[in-house]
Amino acid sequence: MVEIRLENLRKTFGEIVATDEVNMVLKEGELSTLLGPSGCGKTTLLRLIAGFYAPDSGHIYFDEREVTEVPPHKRNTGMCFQNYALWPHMTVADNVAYGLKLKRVQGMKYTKSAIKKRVETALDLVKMGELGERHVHQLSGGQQQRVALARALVVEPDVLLLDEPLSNLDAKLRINMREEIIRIQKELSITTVYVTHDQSEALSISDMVAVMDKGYVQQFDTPREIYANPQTIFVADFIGQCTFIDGIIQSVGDTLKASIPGNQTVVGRTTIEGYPFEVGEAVKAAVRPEDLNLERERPTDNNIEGEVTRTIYVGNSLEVYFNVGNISAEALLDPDSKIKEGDTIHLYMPSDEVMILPVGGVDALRKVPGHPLALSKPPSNASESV
Amino acid sequence: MGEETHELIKEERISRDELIPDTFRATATFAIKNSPSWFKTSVFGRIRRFGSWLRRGAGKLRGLFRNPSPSIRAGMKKLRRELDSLTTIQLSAVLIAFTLFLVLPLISVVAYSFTDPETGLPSLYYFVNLFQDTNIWPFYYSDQYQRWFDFSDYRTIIFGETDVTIQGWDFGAIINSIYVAIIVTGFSILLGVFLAFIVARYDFFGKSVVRTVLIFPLLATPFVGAIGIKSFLGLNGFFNNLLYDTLHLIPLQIQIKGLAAIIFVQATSLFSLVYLNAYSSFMSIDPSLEEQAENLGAKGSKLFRTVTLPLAMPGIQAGAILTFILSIEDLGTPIVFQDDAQAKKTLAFQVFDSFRSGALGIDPKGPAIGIILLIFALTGFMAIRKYAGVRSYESGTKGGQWNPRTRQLQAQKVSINGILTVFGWLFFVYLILRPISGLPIQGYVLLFMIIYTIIGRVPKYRDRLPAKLIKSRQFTFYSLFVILGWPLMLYWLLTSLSNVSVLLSLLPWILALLLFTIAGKTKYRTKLPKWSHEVQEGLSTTIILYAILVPLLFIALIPQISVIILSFAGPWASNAVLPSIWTLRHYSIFTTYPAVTQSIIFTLVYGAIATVLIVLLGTSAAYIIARRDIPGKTYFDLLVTSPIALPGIVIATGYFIMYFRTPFFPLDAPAFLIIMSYTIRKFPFTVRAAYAGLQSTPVVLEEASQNMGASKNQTFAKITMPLIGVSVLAGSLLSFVYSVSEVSTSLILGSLGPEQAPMTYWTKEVLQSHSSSYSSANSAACLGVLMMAMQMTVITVTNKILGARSSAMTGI
Repeated sequence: MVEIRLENLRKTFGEIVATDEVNMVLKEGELSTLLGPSGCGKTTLLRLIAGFYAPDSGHIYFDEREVTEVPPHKRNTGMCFQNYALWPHMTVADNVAYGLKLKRVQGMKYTKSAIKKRVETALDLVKMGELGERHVHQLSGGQQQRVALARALVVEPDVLLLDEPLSNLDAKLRINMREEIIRIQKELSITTVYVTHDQSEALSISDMVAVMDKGYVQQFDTPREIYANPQTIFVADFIGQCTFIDGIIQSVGDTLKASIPGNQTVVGRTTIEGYPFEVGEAVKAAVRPEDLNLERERPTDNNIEGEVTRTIYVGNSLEVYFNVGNISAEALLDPDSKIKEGDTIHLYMPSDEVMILPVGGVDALRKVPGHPLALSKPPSNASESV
Repeated sequence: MGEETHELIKEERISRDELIPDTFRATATFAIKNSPSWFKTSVFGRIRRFGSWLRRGAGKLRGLFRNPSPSIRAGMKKLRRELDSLTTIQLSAVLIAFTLFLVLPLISVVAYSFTDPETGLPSLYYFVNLFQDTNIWPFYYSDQYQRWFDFSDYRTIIFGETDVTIQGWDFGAIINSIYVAIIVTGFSILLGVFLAFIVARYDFFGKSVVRTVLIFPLLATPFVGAIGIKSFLGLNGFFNNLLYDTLHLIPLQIQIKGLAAIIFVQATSLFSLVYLNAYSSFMSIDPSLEEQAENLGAKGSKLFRTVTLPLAMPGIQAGAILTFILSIEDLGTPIVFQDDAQAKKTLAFQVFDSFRSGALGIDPKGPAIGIILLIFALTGFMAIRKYAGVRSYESGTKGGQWNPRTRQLQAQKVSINGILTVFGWLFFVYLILRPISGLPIQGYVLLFMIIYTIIGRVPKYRDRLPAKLIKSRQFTFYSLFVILGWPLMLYWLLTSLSNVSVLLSLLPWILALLLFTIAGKTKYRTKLPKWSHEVQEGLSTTIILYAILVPLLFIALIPQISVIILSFAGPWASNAVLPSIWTLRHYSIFTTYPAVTQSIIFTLVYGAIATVLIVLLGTSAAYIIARRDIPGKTYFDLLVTSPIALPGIVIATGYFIMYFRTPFFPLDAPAFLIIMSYTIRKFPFTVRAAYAGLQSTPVVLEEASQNMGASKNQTFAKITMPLIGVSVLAGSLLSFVYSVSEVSTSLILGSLGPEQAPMTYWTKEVLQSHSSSYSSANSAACLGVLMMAMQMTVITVTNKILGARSSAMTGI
């Protein structure tokens, strides 16, 4: 069981920066997810941990051991590829046994019977015990996925790396396999890194989630924190629904006050502890649709006025789309309310549900004292230090 | 790592008795103990599987014959649905052509050779005769003496006064052809797989050049190469003149002749079949399959053995089998080397020989040998199709990132100590090989190297060496020049101490080296060109790679190089490495003899007509195979691709038996049959290329066209043809160029009507003309160069078009 520490990792492919300034500590026994849209650098980061890429700069540690330059076959990681990468010229059992045959414990290797026993145990673990003699092409997608998992687990890796393991499965199988992975991961308590672009998958299985965009880790936190306190506009937008309203900071205090279009003002809170807001700074006020109410609940609630453009009845609630100035916003309201297109509505949002976010994205986070991004060098210097 | 695993044992997750020591001894004992069962499962198992695969196929066919009505009825129904007017025409045209010019001639060969000449009943008469001919089967039982005679020749290396002759064993044509083919295949696999792996998996400077160069041998048929190699490997050829007379590197002149020469020629020409197929296979392996193995702890040779090689195996096997078949049926090489009696004892030459007894008849042993060739060819062809079918490995996985796995050469860090040791010993070997009179310098060097190596190896002494020597580092060109330049200069100085003029001539070089050293150490360093002092990634590895690649490529290209030199060679001073005068004189062969000029034109015309036919029929066949679901499609596919493996000499024999003195083949006028033989024999190249094009074109494109209101025929003309046009073009170019360089049928049919014979026939005639024996080889080489020039143009173009699918060039 190891703790993975990534220090200031940077990887470029020619001109393209795949991932940059990654500083994370993945605690031992935890399942951490790398989440982001395609091309955000999450697979690159995973392959850096597996050792298939060498970083341009930065360091990777497994506990105290630096593995930055260690080739993949000496890292003792178990990886599941997105396409499973099962060898078509071997049977299921041969596929699983492969890593064991190569493994050396104190310079000794496993006996044949030991390998056989362990392969059986591993296949039983993924409920594939009966199918050891099959060839890969005789398996369904879900079965192939389990074999890939068994093959990665049987060598008792220090780290389990999963690259979008469920992306090729249908919806039902996906949920089953997801539960299976969580069960096995908890049972063996292996430090696990899981790559996905599916936010609900990430939130439901992870101990920690790293949301990535354009090569940067935007936020690395527990699922709850990610949802409740997004650090950047991207995170707020990518995780769940959010309406963004442009604003200018008017006053800074325990709460923040910002003016928004249509001569209105909102009062909200910051999600970034220690971020130095300034009066006159351009910000975005973010609010989740379910936090908008038709009635004022507290005197401090913000009041917002808009024109309804569209309503959608979805059973347990009514989705109301409305314009504030020229920004379109969304609210989830009581399904019984009689709102129709063209109405002018007044909505109330509690000030502690309004999130005031700086517009700078990850660069804004550098202004936060003690933030990982503030500690590392800005990218222009990083490229020179290669 | 150690502590960690120790924990595992302490935690009792691994019990002691699950582990055995991993020593070389244990592994070796295990391997030896298991070798019989390994042999049983892998070798015999493979043969058994192939056999049962053939049996299943035959069984299916038998089932069809035994109970034809339901399956035929279902087949007819399917056929009616699939056949529209276009497909009907296409299908019947292909079938008629193949029946007339492939199936019937082959059947006639079989029928002829199994008929008793007197009674006309089926008999093994000719085969019995065959085994009484000591040229073909050396073991002979004499009734008269009541004992066996053995006419085999076991001599391989014969030492003369100043020369050594290398020839092959001679066991008669049957065994000769087989063992030659086995050795050629072995060499081809080693060379082809090695080169393919390097080119497919590593990025290095000049790789694209190496890639292009490696394809050239494919089209230079052994016949052309043999002309050049014969003069290069002869007693007074290039190699002996270079290594024996000039450099004195070898103590005796080496002459390679007979079967050994055939092996050399075929191996250097045919290895590219294995290379191309292996290259395509390596490129089509999903990179994650290899990465997964690395992730689980495999690397280097283990990774190659357990994952890469097995996955590439189908392609390599197909290439190897094709090499085997082409080696057995190669007629050109034995003809070039036929002044040595041994070279005549190959199956292909014996068939050819049976024709020479006169245009009016044929020695019946020809067809009988043809049957033997046919058995090898058909077995091999079925095996190829089986393995090529297994290539579906490629499509087994989907999704994920898919870049072919190429790597930069790893920058091997070496120390100065390491460089000095390696080059020191190389230098010593050089000194030994090249005796210098005067200074006893070898002794000093040997002593120095021994001491130096010991100091460098033994840790105790090693630590006393300056850290600078020992530290691993990445070298720049600058530092290599300096490290290697000074010792070399010192050596030159020492060896020329007594010779003032040499000493003076060295002066500029010493000055240059001095300046370079000083410049590199001081602030002027930045003024040096960037490449000289910047650390080159993987510089040392690239140098090592080229040290291996260059000699290999040179050997592989000897046929081409030698033919070109020969064609330009003027008078050649005895013992000179290269001709003293270069001349264009030999090229007058193109115009001097009307027959030769005419044959060149004929060849191009024959090739062009054949190519047109091939494109029309081949595209049709590919379309039917890829898009139509007619009953018996697999057999149709087998039929149209089989000519790749069927020996040309057997087909030519069949033409002779079947059509001689009929309207197809009037006396002295083989032109029509030559064209048809080209059409049939070079058919597979276009079919495979067009088929590959069709497979990479989604069917929905054609369906969309039909949905828009175009008929099937319109769709074929307007959508399908333009989409696969480039592939068809590549295939037809290949078909054309292979037609032009076709040897076996050209020679046999040409000899039956020299007036209409193609270029290859006249190349052979020119080569063997005795008017002026020296220049005849040069003139033949000119014709060879012409052929090669055409081939290389075509191959460069097709290689560009086909890209990573270049294995289509081998027709598999």
